[in-house]
Amino acid sequence: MAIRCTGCGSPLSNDVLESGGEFRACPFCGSETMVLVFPALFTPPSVPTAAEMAAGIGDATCFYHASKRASAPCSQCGRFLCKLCSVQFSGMVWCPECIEAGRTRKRVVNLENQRTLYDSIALALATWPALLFSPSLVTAPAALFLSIFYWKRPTSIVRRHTKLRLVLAMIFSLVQIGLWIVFGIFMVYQFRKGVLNNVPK
Amino acid sequence: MSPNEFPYRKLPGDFRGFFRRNTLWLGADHLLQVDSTRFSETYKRFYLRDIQTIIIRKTPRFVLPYYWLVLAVVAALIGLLFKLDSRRILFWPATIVLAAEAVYLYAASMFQSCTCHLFTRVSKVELRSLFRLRPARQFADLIAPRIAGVQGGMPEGWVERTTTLAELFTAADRNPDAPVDVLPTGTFSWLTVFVFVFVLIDAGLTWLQLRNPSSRSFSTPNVINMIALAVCATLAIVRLSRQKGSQALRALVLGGLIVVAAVTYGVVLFQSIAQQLHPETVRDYLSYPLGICEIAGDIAVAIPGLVLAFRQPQSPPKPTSLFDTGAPPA
Repeated sequence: MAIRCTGCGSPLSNDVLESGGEFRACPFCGSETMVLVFPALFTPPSVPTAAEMAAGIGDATCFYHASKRASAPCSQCGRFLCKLCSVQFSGMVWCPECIEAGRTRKRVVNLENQRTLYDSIALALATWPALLFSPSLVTAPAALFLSIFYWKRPTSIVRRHTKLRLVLAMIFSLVQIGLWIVFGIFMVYQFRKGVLNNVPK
Repeated sequence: MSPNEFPYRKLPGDFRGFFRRNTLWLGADHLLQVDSTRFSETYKRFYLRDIQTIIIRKTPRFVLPYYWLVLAVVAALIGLLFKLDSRRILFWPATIVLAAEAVYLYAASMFQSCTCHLFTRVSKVELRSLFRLRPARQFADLIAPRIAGVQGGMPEGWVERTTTLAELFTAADRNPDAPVDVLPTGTFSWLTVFVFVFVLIDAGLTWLQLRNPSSRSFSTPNVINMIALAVCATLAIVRLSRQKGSQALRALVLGGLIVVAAVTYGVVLFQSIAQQLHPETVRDYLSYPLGICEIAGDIAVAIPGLVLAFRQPQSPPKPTSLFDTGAPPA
């Protein structure tokens, strides 16, 4: 239960704990420390007892555990769940299968723990290589492809303008592709002109 | 909440490294830590109902966000480029920017830095975005009422329930008679003495320079002395801040450092302004008074500092074996 100093690992004394949002010195290492304690520290873990969970005659039973009493239905699939199987999450009751499905299919935002930012990749491909000119011959079409292919893919959770980067990447890459086409036509024209000029009369 | 409403609010604290960025966001019922590389993001959620403790600890730490590094590199490049130029228009401004940045980073790293840890029943996580005191305090002020609103009030006698006396005694080397609420007493250290000796050497070098202003033979020893002073003073401040009854000595070490740094910075600033205003005839209006002030400040800090440093008690000899009690043999 002891709250320990994050510097030396020693238990913090009462005056540090009672400081009420002020910095006090750790009694052992002297580091000035501010501690915010919340009631969750004292809440015991809610583990249901065997008696609470045993199903009686006429009781609805858990979908996953036939011998256990159901306490709530899953808010997604409607299966009956015992206290062990029910998970309180986002203000609803979930069964383990729905949580797994939500996580793998990325349907529930609050279950995602990683995202690839395709819009940032597309924008980076459309901008940085252009500074070196020649790599943009490859990267501009790649940026355009990414922008179109991943148009519907969600971007960062904590970003508001979700499509702005993709739109910018498309514009930059189209401009670069256009310039490459113009450059190609110009080179072909110059080449043909040079060939014609060198033809012996 | 409508579907179009943005579900997160940015919290204070933002670490921007070259390849990583760490931020904290507040959702409806949870705290979201976002660890992002340029092209992907990793999320950690801490539900407000699960947060047990938040501990912020002041500690000297050097963290370099990329924008400071970019500024330093740009200023150094400009300085180098214009040093080669005959007019040196931007050499001194670039030098001042570099010096100011170095002073800021030093001050922020030594006196305004912290670590912030968040504890739940099953995890202890460092919140990397909170590495400076000001955002950490803002974060604490903002988040504490929210968590209290979700979890309710603290139970009766919670302080006694967190740390028992037995645990405190165990931590104090299992000695029940040992006082548990005091810092280790300050002891004599040559490091502190060296700091004040370097301050006195600085005063001597400044005096020699004032006697012979045209000579440049003192600049290299001066720079070496200043670097040695900076290193020793940094280590001494960290050491003294972890000892009992060393506040005055720590203040004097800090004072010596500030005197030397302020005068050096003042001279550089003055020379750059003078060069901008009168590029042809740069006259030293302030070098002499600044030098006198530096010598006076150095002596005012070093003499009491040396007296205090030598009055610190000697540290007790360390026992050579487990059975050595420190008593003389019979």
